[in-house]
Amino acid sequence: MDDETHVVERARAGDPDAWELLYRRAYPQLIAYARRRLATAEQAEEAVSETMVRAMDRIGDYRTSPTGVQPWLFGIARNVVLETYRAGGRHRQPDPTAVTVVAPLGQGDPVGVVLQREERRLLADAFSRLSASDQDVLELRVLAGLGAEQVAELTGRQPGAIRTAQSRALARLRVEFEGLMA
Amino acid sequence: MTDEHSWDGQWDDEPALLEELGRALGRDPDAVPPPDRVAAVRAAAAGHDAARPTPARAGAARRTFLSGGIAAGVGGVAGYLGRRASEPEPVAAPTPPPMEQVTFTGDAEVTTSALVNHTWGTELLLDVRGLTEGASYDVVYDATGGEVAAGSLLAVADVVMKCRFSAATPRADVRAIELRGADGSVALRAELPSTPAT
Repeated sequence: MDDETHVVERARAGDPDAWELLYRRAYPQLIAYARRRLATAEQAEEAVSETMVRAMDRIGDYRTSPTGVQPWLFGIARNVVLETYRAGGRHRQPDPTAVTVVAPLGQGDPVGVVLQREERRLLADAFSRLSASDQDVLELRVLAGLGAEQVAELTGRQPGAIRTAQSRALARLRVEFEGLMA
Repeated sequence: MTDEHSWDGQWDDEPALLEELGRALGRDPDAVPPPDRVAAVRAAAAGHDAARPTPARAGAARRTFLSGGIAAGVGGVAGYLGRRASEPEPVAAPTPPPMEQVTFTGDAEVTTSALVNHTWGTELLLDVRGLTEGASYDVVYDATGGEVAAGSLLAVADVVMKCRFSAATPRADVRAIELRGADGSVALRAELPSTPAT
């Protein structure tokens, strides 16, 4: 039994340590996704908490998957975010400048840090110019941290189609970014 | 820009670009949840194990842990646990109907799309833009036993139209959804995975 399977089994039994571990492991991806989609940090935190509540309610229905528990949790999170969005929690297009502040910058010389911040701002700007479907497929990869198989499981598409869609979306992102850099 | 951070050099590598995009979009792999929410999750899990309530009631109780009472932190959660036995049973919150994401393909831009599996039928939530201005479109469910009309819209330019469509067709019977122009041409189509009847 691998580590995750063991954790899920403990979670099924209501072990608080297991639930804390699942929460901590999923948190960076879930909060990043919720923060992108919802108006405030508080709404995003609430959405992630609600995701864990629903996961507790449904853990009995979870079937162990080769792609792990992450897509399952993320599927719940997407519904929670959508419901919040429907209930009036939406606000965005996100402000790329604001999200750059959230992302930690590496240590180094001040000039390098400034350049890195500017590139991230432009990259976020380029991303905002992509179509909704391109944004979605890239968000699942870079924010949720899901691989092609995991995205395929979540969306009901084939892994090959996901890889192709991600590759094309990345190519379009490069074009948009290069246009902004020119 | 030609130093070590440059687009031309570092980001030719696809994983590096993906990593940088993640950070540009706000992902922090080292993000940790607030301590009070960790405590609340632990308390909710523990409450579930001890009381073994019905799922609907468990959800309502956990939401109390994780939302209203959370500002009080660990003390608030403990206080709630202490009071619970002497208070009237909470009224179970309504369980929201199942919802699933839907992927449309076609010419228009769909920013949000989801299906809600109601007991009375199937509802489509659709935010869309880019349809031909002034044209009317019909939403049709391709269902077991034939097609079912779920509503229509009149396209407006340059805005995201936030729409809801519904029909008294169980979700398990819906196989695909189409948005069709007046001439019957398909502007958007979504193939749906089969689901068990509820």
